[in-house]
Amino acid sequence: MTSVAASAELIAELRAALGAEAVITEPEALLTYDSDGSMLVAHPPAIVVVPTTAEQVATAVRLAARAGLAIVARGAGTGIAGGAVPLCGGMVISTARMDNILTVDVRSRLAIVQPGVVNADLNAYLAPLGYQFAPDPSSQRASTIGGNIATNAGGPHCLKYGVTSNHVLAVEVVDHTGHRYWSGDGVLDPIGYDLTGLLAGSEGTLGVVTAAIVRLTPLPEAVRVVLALFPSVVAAAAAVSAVIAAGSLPTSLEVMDHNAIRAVNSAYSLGLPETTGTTALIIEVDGVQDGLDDQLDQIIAICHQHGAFDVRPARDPATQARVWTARKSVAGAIGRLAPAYYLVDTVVPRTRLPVMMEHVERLRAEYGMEVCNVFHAGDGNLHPLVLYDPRDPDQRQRAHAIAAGVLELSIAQGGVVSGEHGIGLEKCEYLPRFFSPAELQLHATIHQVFNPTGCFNPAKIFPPDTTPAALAAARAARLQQRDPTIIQNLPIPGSFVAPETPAAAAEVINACHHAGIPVVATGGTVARSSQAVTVSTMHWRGILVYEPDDLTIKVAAGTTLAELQAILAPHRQMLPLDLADPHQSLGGLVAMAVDGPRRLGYGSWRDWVLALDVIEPDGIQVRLGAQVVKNVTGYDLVKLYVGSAGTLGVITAVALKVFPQPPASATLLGQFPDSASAWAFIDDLATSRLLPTAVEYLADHHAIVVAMRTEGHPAAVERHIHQATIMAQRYAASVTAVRDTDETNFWHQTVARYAPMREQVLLRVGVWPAHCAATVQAITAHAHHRQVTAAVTAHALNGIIYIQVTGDFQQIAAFHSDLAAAFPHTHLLAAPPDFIPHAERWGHLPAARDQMRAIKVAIDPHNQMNPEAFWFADNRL
Amino acid sequence: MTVTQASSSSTQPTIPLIGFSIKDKPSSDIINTCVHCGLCLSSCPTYRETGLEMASPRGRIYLMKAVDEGRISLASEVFQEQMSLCLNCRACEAVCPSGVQYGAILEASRAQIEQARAGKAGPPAIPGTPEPKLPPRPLWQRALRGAVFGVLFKRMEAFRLFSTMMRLYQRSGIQWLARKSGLLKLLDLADTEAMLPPISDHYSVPRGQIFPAEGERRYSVALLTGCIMSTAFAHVHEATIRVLRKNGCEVILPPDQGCCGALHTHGGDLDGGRELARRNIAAFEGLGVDAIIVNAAGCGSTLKEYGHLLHDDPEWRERAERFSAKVKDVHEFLAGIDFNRSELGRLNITVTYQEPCHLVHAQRISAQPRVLLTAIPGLTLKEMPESALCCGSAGIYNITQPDMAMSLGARKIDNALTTGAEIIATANPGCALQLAGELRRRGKNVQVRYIIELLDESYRVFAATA
Ligand SMILES: Cc1cc2nc3c(=O)[nH]c(=O)nc-3n(C[C@H](O)[C@H](O)[C@H](O)COP(=O)(O)OP(=O)(O)OC[C@H]3O[C@@H](n4cnc5c(N)ncnc54)[C@H](O)[C@@H]3O)c2cc1C
Ligand code: SF4
Ligand code: SF4
Repeated sequence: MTSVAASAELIAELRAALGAEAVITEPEALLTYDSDGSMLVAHPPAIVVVPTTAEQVATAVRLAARAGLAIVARGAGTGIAGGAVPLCGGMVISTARMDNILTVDVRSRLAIVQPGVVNADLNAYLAPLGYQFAPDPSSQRASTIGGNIATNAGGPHCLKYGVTSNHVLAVEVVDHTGHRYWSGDGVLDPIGYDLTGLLAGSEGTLGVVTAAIVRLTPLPEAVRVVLALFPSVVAAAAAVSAVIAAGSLPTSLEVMDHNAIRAVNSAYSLGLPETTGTTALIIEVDGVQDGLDDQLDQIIAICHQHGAFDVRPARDPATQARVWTARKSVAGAIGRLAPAYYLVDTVVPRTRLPVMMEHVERLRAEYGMEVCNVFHAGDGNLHPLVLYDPRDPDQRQRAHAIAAGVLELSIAQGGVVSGEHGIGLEKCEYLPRFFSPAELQLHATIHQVFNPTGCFNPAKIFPPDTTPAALAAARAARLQQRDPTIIQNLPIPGSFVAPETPAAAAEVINACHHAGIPVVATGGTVARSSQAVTVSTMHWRGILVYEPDDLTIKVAAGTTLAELQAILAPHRQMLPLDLADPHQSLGGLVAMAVDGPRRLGYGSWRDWVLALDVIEPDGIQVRLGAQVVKNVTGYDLVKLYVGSAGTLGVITAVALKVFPQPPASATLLGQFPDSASAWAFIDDLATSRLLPTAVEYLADHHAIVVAMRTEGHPAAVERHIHQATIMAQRYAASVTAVRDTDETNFWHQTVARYAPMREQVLLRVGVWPAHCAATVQAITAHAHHRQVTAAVTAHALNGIIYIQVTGDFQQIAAFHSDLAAAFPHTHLLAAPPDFIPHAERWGHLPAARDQMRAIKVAIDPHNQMNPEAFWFADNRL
Repeated sequence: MTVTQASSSSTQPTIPLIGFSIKDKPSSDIINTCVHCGLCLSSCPTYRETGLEMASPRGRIYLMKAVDEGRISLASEVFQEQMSLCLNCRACEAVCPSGVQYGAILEASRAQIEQARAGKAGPPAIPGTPEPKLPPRPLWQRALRGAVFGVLFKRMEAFRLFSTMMRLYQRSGIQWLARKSGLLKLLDLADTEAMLPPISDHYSVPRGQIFPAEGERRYSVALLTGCIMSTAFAHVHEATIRVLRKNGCEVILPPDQGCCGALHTHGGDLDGGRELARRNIAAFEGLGVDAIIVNAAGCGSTLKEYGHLLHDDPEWRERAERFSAKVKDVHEFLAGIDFNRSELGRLNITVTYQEPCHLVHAQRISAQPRVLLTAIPGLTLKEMPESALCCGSAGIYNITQPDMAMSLGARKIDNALTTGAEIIATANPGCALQLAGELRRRGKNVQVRYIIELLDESYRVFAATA
């Protein structure tokens, strides 16, 4: 896009719509919007608007689009990849005045906020309520929720709590025509594509975020911080791996080298030694009080074993705050050491950190520059800051050369181009080195769907010589192209094939593409459709990459959950998912995003899947994501494929985040006299300081039971059982605690209650957790009214309710339509073959259905991949 | 990718712009310490209110940098407006990880504008540019500034006379008349007028008085009486003296001292500020006291910066530094000695604390006032949201930027009222006036008190009951 000036007419229209004080045109004022936190490149916009409402944003976008102006959203401008720099001029939409917290529902653990709300302000608001918005970028004092979402920001606490996209439930977006839509409504696992996950980290190139539903996390009861000093960065990095290997999952493992210490030492009166080599490792653990000191002592012992020469626990909150403020201020404090810095952001598998650090040191010496290292070691997220003087062109060149050298080795080590700052303007050129042409095309396809005119944040993410439009056109041509002459051994519709390798499967899919035959994937051994070719992943099994200390694994898609657990168990690791049938393939589980009760404590597939290997509809193999825990390199296509039900391609391999096995586990079972007392207990649990990993509500005509699982340090587990017992007894519950095999058996029976089986009707209703009790009550009433038997099992604090229904088929159908009318997220999961389902078996059409369809059409133009799935089948594409 | 330097991107102007002059130029070194990280944004009251980058610390520094590098003109309205809209509250300085000394470059920038308006700028800093000259201020502004900076605050007799007139104005029916008649509305002074506090009946006139310590003498200290504090808030000085004496201090009120010069330095009249600084240094020199005590936050931060103000004056630099090193805010002083907790009497009150910018940001004194407050038996301290965000009173700010001053005052009171406290404690005359004005406007029955007054009251309650 070329730079266009704002016409007098446009200015007048904007003033009329937004108010005169919301439209900025003086050149000197525009100058202050020419750069972000990076100072890499500067270019002033033609006009800036400062709207207060989503509707004003929509109007501004409409007018700018009509005038052919580029549109760049800007939060606080703390980005360090040039994301908010209006390189092509145009209109900057600043969200600074959209800073209202609209709704806080602590019982549902969510809040609705405007995009300009400052991260720290949201947290200050939530703290007295006992909650937090967990992503804590070091810039949180200033950066906005909109900016955090757009860059999928991370922070020190992401090791335990995950990055921003793990904490965003839905976003409201203004599209390129000025139309507003929501990607979801805050209910978990909606049917359709995970647009929320896709939009997070899209750096303002797919629309302007005008509101967000974010997840709230309970504040821990207790926190322990320890600062350990090591003689070298490499020693500290080794200690990090050892801490992880020992099985505790700290909230953060942060490293500062001697230069970083120098930058903040005196300003925050840390009193640390500044001698060359000295490296500080900050370790934080949190949770309930019980067992925390013990955990800390273990960590301290590990530090000593790895050569820590001084270990300083920060016991009181004031000292802890000082340590954290200092850590978070390093980048900003560089002004004390040099006039500018070039901050390199890259993530490698954690075990590669020592190699990377040695490399950084080599580059530093080679180019003769000062480098300051401060990084999220637990995540493998390096942040070398190269200090330089921008007025000296030679120094600039050398700083850039060091950055290039770091990124090159990182890519070679399985790392990514950006972990949390984004690609922006800074790293466009690295994209073709990281992605294959087909992968780049897939990214461009998404860009084309959401940003067809290229108005949103032009010149970002994609390198200038590979424009999204050209890449998307190349891809479209590729997908269209059909050459019937190359078809040999064409499988016929209804057949079942089980290729030996993904490459062989790609051949089959390619052949189907040419012949126009639909493809359905399975992990099983029988054909799933009479219209399509069923491609089975059953022969692809086992480990592809597993480095236990990284807490990640990559396995072939045909590997079953049981096999995965067997691989992980000897290393005392696990995937926290319980299923009635653990012999399902991981490819299938990911595609269907099948969840389990422990999602309360550990999240679900969208939080675990790091990378996928996929065969595209025309048989080309691509790799999405990377086997590292943080990644903002291009769009998060992994999220798009999780839960996509095989409609976008066939998954051939899955890379996952895995977890250390907790040292102890127990489940409290409370049988309650009635549902009201059961829900009262659940309310109390929700607002207590306890951190159960599952809270399941089970009701049928026999009994009403609440099961609370707790995992972690033995003392913490006992504390949970003890406190929850007292809480449950207040509501006249009879209480038992189960452990070991009893516990395993109990959960096995519980998950069997909602395992889809052919002979039974199984429904799922999703609501905001606060409405769970009332919804269950309504479901029971409807069942009673329709004279069907409904066994309800709910992830009580997640708002997901499974209903196993038995009775007369017609009555069940009526019951289903009652629920579908009352609850938009009512989904028929399974039914006997002769059951005629209610028309809306997928629930209400989602608000963003047009965007979802457009994605499907762009990726699979002939609707060949699992055409029966979702409402795509009913409504024809 | 090609890398362009942020500062050299906009096209170089063909006609030379008006840049800074050499005299009192904002230091390029300080400007360049800013790494543009933006971490200061959310702490800045004017950014919070406007949401505009140019009204943020980073934006203002960027504008200064642009003038410094000759990319925009000193005459730029945006530049001048932003230098004026800044409260100089220095919240940005307190949070800046790079330690950018914002106050120094702001005051210098303001001085640049005033010099150029007065035609006294001297040679330009960028060779080849014209001598910085700006159109003079309108006559009424010049008259006002002349009266305020040149007479009122320079000569304490004049100041006391003015105060007496204001007191007469308040006590006599004229105030009532003025309010009723709408005269003030007409003159657009209504908001300023509402701010006038009830003025003390008498003044603290420093004549070299020495108040002996109660009990054993542990310290000898001198008190800065200042301008407004010695007239409108003389009762606060009296409370301060009593509290200090209770803590084993002998308190001296050296003669010949005067206004600290804060208004001058903040308002761009650096030379005026220097004159006052020299007078105060001379007045306090050679007393051999342990500390120079200040009970007003704004004065305290100014006195502590005399060293910087007179940095280029070889004759005064060292004397100024020695002086500044002795200056202690009264809360800082008390919390730093083992202050007398045993004779504090019970005050059953709920208090919220409004942090004066020049205490929390400029002097980084935040814990000490709270230590004193919470030492008072029966007192409940309820923290307000945004306690460290400027209340909108900053010297003559209420007159130069009435809208921003008003909305920040309203925001502060909104925050304070959420606590349900019956008293807002503070430690600065500007804040006290601003808070009281806003409360009066709303008809709220909430008191504004100095921390030191509450401490004094607590000691007196003890004395009365013992
Ligand atoms: C000192 C310092 C420390 C930092 N530490 C971290 C860290 O620990 N972790 C980390 O992840 N990042 C860090 N960052 C980078 C930066 O703070 C984050 O990227 C942050 O999320 C940006 O938020 P912002 O509001 O400043 O967004 P901006 O910089 O204004 O914008 C960033 C990007 O988001 C887009 N955007 C902003 N708002 C919207 C919206 N409403 N809709 C659509 N697109 C939008 C912009 O177009 C741009 O592409 C740090 C930066 C600094 C200066
Ligand atoms: S915090 Fe300091 S370095 Fe960062 S933008 Fe503000 S003034 Fe500049
Ligand atoms: S001094 Fe106060 S008003 Fe001025 S820029 Fe700094 S924070 Fe903002």
